[in-house]
Amino acid sequence: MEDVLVVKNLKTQFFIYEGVVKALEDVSFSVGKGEVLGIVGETGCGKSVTAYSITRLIPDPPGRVVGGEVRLGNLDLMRNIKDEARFVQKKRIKIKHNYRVIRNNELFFNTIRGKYISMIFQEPMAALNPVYTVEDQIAETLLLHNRTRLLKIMKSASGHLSELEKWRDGGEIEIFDDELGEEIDKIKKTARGVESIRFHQDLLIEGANGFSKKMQKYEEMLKKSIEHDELEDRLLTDPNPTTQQEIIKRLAKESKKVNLIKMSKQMKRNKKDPLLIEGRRESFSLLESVDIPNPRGVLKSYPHELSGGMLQRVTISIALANNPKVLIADEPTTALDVTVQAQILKLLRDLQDAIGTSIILITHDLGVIAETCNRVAVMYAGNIVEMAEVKELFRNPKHPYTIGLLQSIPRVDDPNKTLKTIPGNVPNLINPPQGCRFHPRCPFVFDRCRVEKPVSIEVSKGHTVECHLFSGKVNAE
Amino acid sequence: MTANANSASSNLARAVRTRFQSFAKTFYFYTRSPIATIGLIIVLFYLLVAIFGPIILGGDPWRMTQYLSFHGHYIYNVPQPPSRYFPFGTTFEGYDIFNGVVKAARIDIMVAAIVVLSGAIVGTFLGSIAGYKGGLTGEVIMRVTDIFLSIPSLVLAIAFLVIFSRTLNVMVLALIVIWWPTYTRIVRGQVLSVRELKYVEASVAAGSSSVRTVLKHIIPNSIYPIFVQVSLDFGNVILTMAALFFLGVGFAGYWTPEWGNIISIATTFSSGIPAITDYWWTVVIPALAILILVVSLNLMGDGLRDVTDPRLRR
Amino acid sequence: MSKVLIDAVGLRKYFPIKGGVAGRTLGYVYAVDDVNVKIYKGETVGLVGESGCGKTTLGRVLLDLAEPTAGVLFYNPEDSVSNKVSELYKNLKTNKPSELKKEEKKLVEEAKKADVYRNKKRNREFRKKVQIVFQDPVSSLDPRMLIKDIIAEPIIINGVPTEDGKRKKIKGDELLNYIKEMIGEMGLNEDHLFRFPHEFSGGQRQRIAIARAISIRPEFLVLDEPTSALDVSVQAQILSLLEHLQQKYEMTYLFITHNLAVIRAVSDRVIVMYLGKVVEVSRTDDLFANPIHPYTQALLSAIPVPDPERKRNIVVLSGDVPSPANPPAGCRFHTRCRFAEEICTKEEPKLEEIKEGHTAACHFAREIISGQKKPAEAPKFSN
Repeated sequence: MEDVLVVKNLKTQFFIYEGVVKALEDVSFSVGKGEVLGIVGETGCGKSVTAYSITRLIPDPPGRVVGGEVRLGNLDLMRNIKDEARFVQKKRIKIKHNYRVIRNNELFFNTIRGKYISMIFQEPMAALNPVYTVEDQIAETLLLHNRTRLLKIMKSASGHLSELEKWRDGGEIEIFDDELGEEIDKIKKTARGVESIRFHQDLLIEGANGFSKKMQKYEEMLKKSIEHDELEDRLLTDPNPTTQQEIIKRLAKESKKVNLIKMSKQMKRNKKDPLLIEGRRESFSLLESVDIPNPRGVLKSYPHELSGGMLQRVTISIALANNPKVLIADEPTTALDVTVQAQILKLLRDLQDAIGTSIILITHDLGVIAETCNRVAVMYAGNIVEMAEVKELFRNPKHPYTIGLLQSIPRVDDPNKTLKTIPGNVPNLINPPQGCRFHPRCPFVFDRCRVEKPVSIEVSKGHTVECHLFSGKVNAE
Repeated sequence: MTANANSASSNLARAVRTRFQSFAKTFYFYTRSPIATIGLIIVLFYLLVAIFGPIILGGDPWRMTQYLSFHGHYIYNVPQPPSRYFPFGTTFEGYDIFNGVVKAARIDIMVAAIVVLSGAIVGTFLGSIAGYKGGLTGEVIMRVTDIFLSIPSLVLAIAFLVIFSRTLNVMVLALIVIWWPTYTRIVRGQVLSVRELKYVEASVAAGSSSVRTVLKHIIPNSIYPIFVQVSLDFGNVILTMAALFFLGVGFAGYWTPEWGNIISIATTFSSGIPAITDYWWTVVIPALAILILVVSLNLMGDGLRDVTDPRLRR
Repeated sequence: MSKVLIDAVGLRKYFPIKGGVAGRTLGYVYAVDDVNVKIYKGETVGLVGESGCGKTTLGRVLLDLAEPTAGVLFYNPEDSVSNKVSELYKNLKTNKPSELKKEEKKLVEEAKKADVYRNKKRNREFRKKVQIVFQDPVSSLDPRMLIKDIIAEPIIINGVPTEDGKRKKIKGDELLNYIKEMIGEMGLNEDHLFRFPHEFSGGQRQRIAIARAISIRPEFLVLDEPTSALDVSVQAQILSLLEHLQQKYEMTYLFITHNLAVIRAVSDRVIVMYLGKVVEVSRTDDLFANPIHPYTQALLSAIPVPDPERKRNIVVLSGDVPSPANPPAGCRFHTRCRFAEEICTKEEPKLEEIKEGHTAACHFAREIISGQKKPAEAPKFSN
């Protein structure tokens, strides 16, 4: 399987009053195309830190990624951030230069987040801005990252205006051989009811009218945005780091010029703006695709007017708006009730089948993992201790921690099971235990565990364990 | 018996040590901000001056020293510039400014402390009642607070001084009347949020009376913003007091060592004289004394606010 | 069957919604609406439901931490009185004293004497016998108090029970030794007594909260989601600790949670709530084997099972829980129910005993278990 995202030896630390929290010690994994990778572990094991490190959302200070790689295509997302860390460590701080490096990094990363990697958070209420309508918030990411597509559809629509009008008035429409054709195909397949199709038709025509009025301006815009997209594609495919740096600089320069607030104000003033209209239409079809009842009403509503389950659907639609390569879902159902959780998980599975985005699902609930994921990584104290196919892991767990975890879950389907406990507490990561971090709680501990950190060992195909019990040198006791 | 006593004292020592460690951590966070630390040092210097200054100078600590003549020269109504004998110069009526400024530190800081602390105590008391009890009592307290807050504070103080008498006690009282409503508001807001926390409910579930709950749980957990406000208000009280003197409603007698009063002397007497710029030290030096203290107090308050903000405690 | 410990009849708790100019009451949130609960001595009752169903409010009302809008609560009642009064209150059509019959009046008077809410003396006794453990281990301990002071607080107020059934106030070293013993039992050590809550992990904090709750040896302990903020490995520790303590001190538990797996592991009987109403009460085994109410069925099927090879057919409920401020008329579940008929939208189903020890509030309970009634594809009356 082709790997979409490869994480190698990722290491993140937090520098606080009490000392240095070694939150991620050495995390490596990869996500295949169209795969759902589950990361499971207890509070403080570093599963969320992993997600935040990948998307570079670790607050600095106090946190910092101090080592490792995150490869998206040919680009190492952590390269520059490691340079920064090196500057700071060597105390060779040249403020002006550093400032430029850091700012460029931040600006260019805005093109990665939300387009190539997007994220769903635990609290949907907190993830949405309470003063903007749902429509504004979905359209925002579309307008930021997907202008090319929106403009192409509009351009094509303005060329086929008469046919579209005929379609609205009840006639049939042939499918064109471009983005607009795909859209019409999709509308015909997925739209719910006549009213919904009508809404699509109206907005398409309205947008096309707007486009043809200021043809030149939007053609120009389209040209620019195609250039921009090519640049981004080159960034991910070009194997040469120096060229990558050049592109990063250019992207940063461009995104500095984009003044979002100004842009949105201008668009709001110009109600006929085709980009805005097309953004609304796309938002509408996204809301339909996440099974929201009455999507037209929801478009105009504010986050506080919707329930938790609905809001999570909205955040999912925002995250999937640009067909990202990787979707990171950080405890997406923890704040929801079980019946709503069932709805959301079903939705995620269905969407994944339809779109084929890779998903990293972070949760503490092994039940959710069992029902949703293809592969699982079990984390403990900043390490991935075991990784396997989901069936393999549940049938044949190897690491003592995984075994303990599986035995300590109360089961609805198995009443006679007695709960076993893992003694002790999660270690303090400022002074983590020497050697294997699990050894103070491990029932199979022996001398080597206290001294030497275990490395990852493949016990069967695709099943790796970080434990000395399987290193072959000592027989399991 | 001795073993018991020993264990009791060691337990006490452990409890004290734990509390001290928590204080040490807070202090560490405070000193991480250099500006706040400078503020703290200057405030401490002022405190030392206020305590020991008048003792070292000798004479009546409540009265500025007046020089009618010096080395045979008549100086009574002619301000003398700073010199070897008068480090800060003298002002009209022959008052020694250095003497006055040092003695004023004691009076100003003392009045500010009394006003701010009484205001804080009254405010905490009323605010916690209004917040915890709520209902009609709370409503009445908050509406009265609103009324006091809606009257311009300086006007209220002037009215107070004019109606009663222009003495130190009345001035302190007037300032307390101005200051308590702010604290009531702050405490009430805090209490409203602390009240909803589970440990308060746990205490109620354990059968604790409302008074006990408020004293043991609610006030200790809602008092920190008050500390910050106290340190910020300290300077405001001194400013207000100076303003009252400047407006001429301070208590009688030019001899009172008070920074505002020293400025007021200069402005009163110089009204007929061509330019106050000729005697700049009579105004600038006491004004600087106020300025430096108020700015330092504000820096200190900002520092305190930062360390009590849990988001910054990392 | 053992003795009744808690008997609550007709409990209601409405929270007013204030708004407008002078804080007028615009409406009510019907958090708990006409709930009858019987809890027997020594058992563990699970109270389960989704967020907003009123389970926490019910727990608080049962401990008199929130004043009920209506209802009576008997603690340790004598059988004769409680049974009669329960019957009376269930059948009572009116609350006006003038319209009551003579016998009824007498019973109401008797009820008032025995009622924990109205009788102050009983209330004071009651407070010493009941305690609560909260969900959130972060906010349930006062951050500015040492652990020893936190655990000591209920003891200082209530004293500890002595062998002759009275209560004794203790202080000084005696108190400290008592606390040390207590904390040892919780799996913590003496050193922990002189620290602040923020130095502990979630599991340890919950142990401290449990120590505080049982320090006065309560007979009835309400556990309000005690493990839902904890990790599974710690959850198992806390559950086994609770089980051990229950046996040792002969406590009765009301275990409030949304996690049905935990309910199955700990409880003897289960009460299922939906939108302020009890919809099903049953012995645990029976409930999990044969759930009757359509809501319980959906709830059970929605729990993710940690077993990837098990294929389940999930009954995915459509829509969300309606607002408790504006609950649907008739059966409150009818907007999401696949069995709903015309009658469900109009008439509220009564809690009836369908089979022995298993009661449910559904118009079609018998038809559903006998398999006569087939579910529709989608709910008929969705909102």
